[in-house]
Amino acid sequence: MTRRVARTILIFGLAATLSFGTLMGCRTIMGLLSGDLDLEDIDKDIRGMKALAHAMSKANQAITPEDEYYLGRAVAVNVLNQHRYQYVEAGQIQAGQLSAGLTNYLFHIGKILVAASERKPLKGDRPVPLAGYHFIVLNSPEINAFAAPGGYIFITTGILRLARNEDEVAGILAHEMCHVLRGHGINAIQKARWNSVKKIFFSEAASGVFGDSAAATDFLNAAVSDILKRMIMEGYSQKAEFEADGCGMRLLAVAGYNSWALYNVIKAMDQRGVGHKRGFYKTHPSPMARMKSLYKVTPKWKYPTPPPARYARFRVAMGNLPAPGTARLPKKLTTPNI
Amino acid sequence: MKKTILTGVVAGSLMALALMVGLVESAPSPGTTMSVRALKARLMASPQFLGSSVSTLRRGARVKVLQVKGSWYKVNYRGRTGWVHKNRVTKKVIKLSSGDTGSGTSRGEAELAGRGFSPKTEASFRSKNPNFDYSHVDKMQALDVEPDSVARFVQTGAVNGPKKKGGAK
Repeated sequence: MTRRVARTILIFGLAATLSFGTLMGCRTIMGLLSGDLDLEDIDKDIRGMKALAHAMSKANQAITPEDEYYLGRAVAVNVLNQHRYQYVEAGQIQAGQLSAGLTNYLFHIGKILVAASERKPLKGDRPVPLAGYHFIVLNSPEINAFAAPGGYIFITTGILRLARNEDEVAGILAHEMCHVLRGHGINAIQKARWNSVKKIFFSEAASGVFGDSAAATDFLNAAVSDILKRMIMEGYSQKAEFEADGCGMRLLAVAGYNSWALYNVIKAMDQRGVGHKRGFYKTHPSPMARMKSLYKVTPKWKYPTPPPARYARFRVAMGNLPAPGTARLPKKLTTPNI
Repeated sequence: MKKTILTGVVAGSLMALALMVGLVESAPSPGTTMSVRALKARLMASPQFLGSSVSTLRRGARVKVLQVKGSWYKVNYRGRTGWVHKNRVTKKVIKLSSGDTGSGTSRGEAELAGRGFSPKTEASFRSKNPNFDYSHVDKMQALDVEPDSVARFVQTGAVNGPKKKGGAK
């Protein structure tokens, strides 16, 4: 009996929340049409985002930014190794100098997105990586991009060639950054594996003590394998991809880029037939499903035409892409040795 | 069965909340000394991410809070004054064996230890995987662009959002 009453209250509560949300949505759509919307009100326009929220694993609550730093570096070195350390502007990067060029261009766009993510964080975002975000272009014809925990973002020359303007490049980066912000890499660590070490990660006293043990190395090794398996071979779950799309679109909007740019990149992927073959990514949603999900949440704002300077610098930066066919294909993924 | 699920959800949410409370620090009052937690933190001329920076602080640097403005703290570091974002600093003392490293060195990085992993975890991982060349990750991590260059990039590209009656913000 009491249970039934409780359930009724719960249902009414949910219904009230939902209808309130819908009303708020209408209000802001009216605001948009009249053109008096402030960017600060952004989340009132992106109401459907909550439906895209993806549960974070317990590991995400316990892994500190310091731990994420080491985890991320180990994942990043694997991604680079798999690609035979072939990346664009390697000479410039080895010299530690970012001047004009493609990587420098991506860092500028990336920094705008990072500022946006810190200015208006989403509830449940992971803390900002201790070393910040870093971007590298892998010389690979594969249409792909990877985000390691700790903010190491890799995008291939293949996917960059799909982008038709700066906003679309920002869309690709924003989607990848959201995998980091929403802890999708850390979520990929297998539950049983996590359970065997969780006490240590929840304990402040463990700092620096456990890390020196062989068990810590074993756990790092295993966690890296779990993450790589998801990130490179299987793809994150459908829910994680939808969430990264929604979160990425929101980052674009907060940053001042066209919030439809991510939708447009996915559309370009669909036109190129990416993800059409069965078994390419077992769990990855199809571009069409992603477009459908994004369509629902992307606010229908009108953007002024960008100044010619924005397109001109995009063209110049893309001029640094190596000629197609110069890349040696990635190796088969080697999992760590131990 | 349902009851178990419900209890689990409630317990889980409470736990998450408690952790969040533990992780999120309250704003400091002026006069508080804080430590830089990020490997590198920009001391900005004004309380914003993009614009000119006064100096670059390294992990472990101790700064004195002069003023709090939303998520930004006006701080003093060895006579230099600027704004640092709350995400870069902590009230906790970042322990470094050789004291305040200040700016310019990367000692803070070497001293970095998490609850689970430490520099020794990485060293042992590297020795067991000699085929992984970490120097590339180090180079990637060392890359950065100046925040004032990004501010100019925003301006020349007019990256400032949708059409609004009141003009772009």
